[in-house]
Amino acid sequence: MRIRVKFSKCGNVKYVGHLDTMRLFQRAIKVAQLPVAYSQGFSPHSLVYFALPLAVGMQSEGEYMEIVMKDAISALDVKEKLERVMVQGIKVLDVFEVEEKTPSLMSLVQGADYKLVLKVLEQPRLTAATLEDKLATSNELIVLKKGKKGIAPLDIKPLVLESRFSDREDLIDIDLKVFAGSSKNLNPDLFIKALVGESPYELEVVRKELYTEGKDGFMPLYTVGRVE
Amino acid sequence: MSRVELTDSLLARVDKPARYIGGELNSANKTITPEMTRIAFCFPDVYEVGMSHLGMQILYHFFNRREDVFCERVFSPWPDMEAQMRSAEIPLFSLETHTPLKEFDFVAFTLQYEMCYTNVLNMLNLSGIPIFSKDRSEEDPLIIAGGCCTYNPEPLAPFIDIFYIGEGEVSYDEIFDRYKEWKASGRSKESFLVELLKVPGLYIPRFYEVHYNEDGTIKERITLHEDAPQTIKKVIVTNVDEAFYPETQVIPWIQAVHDRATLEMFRGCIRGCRFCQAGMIYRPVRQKSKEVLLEQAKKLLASTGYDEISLCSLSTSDYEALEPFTNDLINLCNEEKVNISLPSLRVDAFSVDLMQKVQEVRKSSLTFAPEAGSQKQRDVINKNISEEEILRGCKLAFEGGWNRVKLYFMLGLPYEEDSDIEGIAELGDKIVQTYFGIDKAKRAPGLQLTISTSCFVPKPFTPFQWAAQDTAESFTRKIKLLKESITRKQIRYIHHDAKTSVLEAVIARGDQRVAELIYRAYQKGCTYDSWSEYFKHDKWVEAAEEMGLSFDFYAKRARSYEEILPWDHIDIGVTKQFLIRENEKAKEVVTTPNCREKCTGCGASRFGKGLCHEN
Repeated sequence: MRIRVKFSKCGNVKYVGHLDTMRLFQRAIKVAQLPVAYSQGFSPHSLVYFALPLAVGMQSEGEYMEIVMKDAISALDVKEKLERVMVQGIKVLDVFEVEEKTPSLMSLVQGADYKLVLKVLEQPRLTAATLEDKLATSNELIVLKKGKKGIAPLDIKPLVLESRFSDREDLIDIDLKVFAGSSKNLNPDLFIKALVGESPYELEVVRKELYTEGKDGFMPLYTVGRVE
Repeated sequence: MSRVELTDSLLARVDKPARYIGGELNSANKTITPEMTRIAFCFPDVYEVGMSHLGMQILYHFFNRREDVFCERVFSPWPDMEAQMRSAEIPLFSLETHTPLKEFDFVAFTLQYEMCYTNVLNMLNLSGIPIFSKDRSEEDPLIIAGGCCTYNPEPLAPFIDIFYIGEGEVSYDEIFDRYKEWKASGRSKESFLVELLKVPGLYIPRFYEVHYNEDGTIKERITLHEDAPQTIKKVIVTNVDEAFYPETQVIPWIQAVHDRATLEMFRGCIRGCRFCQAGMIYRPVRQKSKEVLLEQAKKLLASTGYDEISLCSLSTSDYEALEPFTNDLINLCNEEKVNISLPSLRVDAFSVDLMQKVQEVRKSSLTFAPEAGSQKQRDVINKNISEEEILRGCKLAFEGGWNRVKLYFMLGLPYEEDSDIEGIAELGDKIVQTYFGIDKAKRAPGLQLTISTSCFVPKPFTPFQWAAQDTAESFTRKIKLLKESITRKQIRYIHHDAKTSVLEAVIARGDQRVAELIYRAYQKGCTYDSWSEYFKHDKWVEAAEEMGLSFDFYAKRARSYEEILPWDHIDIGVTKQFLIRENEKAKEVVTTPNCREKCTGCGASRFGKGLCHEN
């Protein structure tokens, strides 16, 4: 049986990287004595999958993972058992079973919401309006992206789905919906780099939700394949 | 109480920020009260190294089992973090509550290797605590140190208030109880230290004074207080089955050097290799029963979720009930999908058989330590293993499907001749021949044999504690000689840096004047000396020259049996007469039977427990 867990990762635990977070969950699942299934073969590992890696330093209120169970267990039971062993900063928000034929989490992810708080350190300060204007009026927004094959230019404009900018004292709040996942992905850091350029800034990012594209547009992952 | 806040912008600038946040699975969390005794347990190296250390895991949970004590962990910040902390004027803090070290009652260091000593000074300095004991005020925490390096405490004596000689489970409760009473009494720090003179296993340097002869050797050590013992006897756990052992381990945020459950099987070693300090200072051998071990393994695995458990001891295959124990453990681990790792094995057939059972499918590399290449040299160091046994072990390993073997040796052992070094290459050659002697269908293709040499460092409390160490030049020549003697392309040769080993010898057998060397080197910017990228040999040389200290006096000079050694006031149970006897036998190339074969009267039986009293 396949159980999905939506969780948040906030506070200092955001400094624990993706691979270490995976290891943490694999251990926590054993400590919680969940009936997790194992892979076959020479070095069996527990069947635990994550939707989309979260960068070191980024917080999230919408992380997903899937645990394949060898025995039946109720979603409520999983929630209670996991909560008992979880570290501070990681909170189990939702646990639900998915139908057997549901596509994998990783293949589902196509979009993501982020909440950004930007502090531009240079004077005169940029405002929400200038950023909004720059995004709206540019035909393309090129930024250099480090990839596996070295540094390559990337036009981020077509990767932005929605954006909302607002000023708050010396900060700019940005709500952002972008393409995310294995085929098309925009890192919020690159988005800001493309808009702000070389000016020094501080940026706080919280991932809010992950989506898949369905016939009615982008649907949050907690709605997909859900067995109630 | 104050809390150190680490800003995002600061943590964003350092590598692996998770080293500094705390709050790991199974870490302690307590409500702090004014009556609570707070202890900062410091490992003077980076997080991933310190979190791998079993002793810290034991004592952390041992201290925290008391409601009136809160023990928190502290590691040496990596140089990038140190730079950020210094520029933002952030003091060194504990991981659990981010409390500055200055606010603790005790700051405790575990000393596991000499090359971390500058980190100890740096951690005190980063905490705003004066480095020298004599400069500290009533308000500063008490600095206490334990661990294997404290058996020669002298190179750190001016910096540490209290040295704990022996196993932590024995006297800490008494220390904490006395501390609570003393704290309530409002009396001076000095009066507390005087009171501690009555606690077994404690060396408090301020109550002693060392006088030197003109030639630099020690003339005498006098006590400055009537209660200060002439010799400090180490304290040990007599019943290891009943001794505290943690049911859990703190799970590091980031992958540690050894990231696994650790089961301590026994303390002490039956072997008595003459270069080995651990083999002497941890005597007598005390084994846990199979039942206790299995129970502890179950609890550890259940509380940590680890997928690997390591059987820890000085020589795992010497555990008496090894076969029945491993059979039961394998059953338990198969159920839980847990791998067993066996770090300290001898090169014999028995060990290979064990490896075979434990790692039925995953053939990682096999690591053995013959320590010397020729039979003569192995007899000198009392490494009781023959070439035939080594080759038979390797043959079995190759037939069992292993193709990667790593062998550890030492260069510069006492009475070593060039033929002994060439013997390492010859042994390697014979192992390669053994591999090719096996039918192609029966062996895994592509043999990789790694030969690794370290430079011998004479250590206190070993039969070789009087021995001269080779010079760096001699080590370099020997490394070259060995490199040229190895002709097989299947053999890869790696070696340690000779300069680090010479300095290690200076510090390991150092007296209180070496403390000044450490202080000066630290002043010149030395920290993380055990990390080759940070080791600044020239600064150490400069520091030594400035104060007129000769490395040769400490490293190269052979001592006479009559000389007063800097660590003579520490009593490990094993007698000096035994060490002399062993050194004399080394000269005559005569071996000594292991503790299970025959008691050789080392002196450790006086603790009244352990293997000495079982036969």
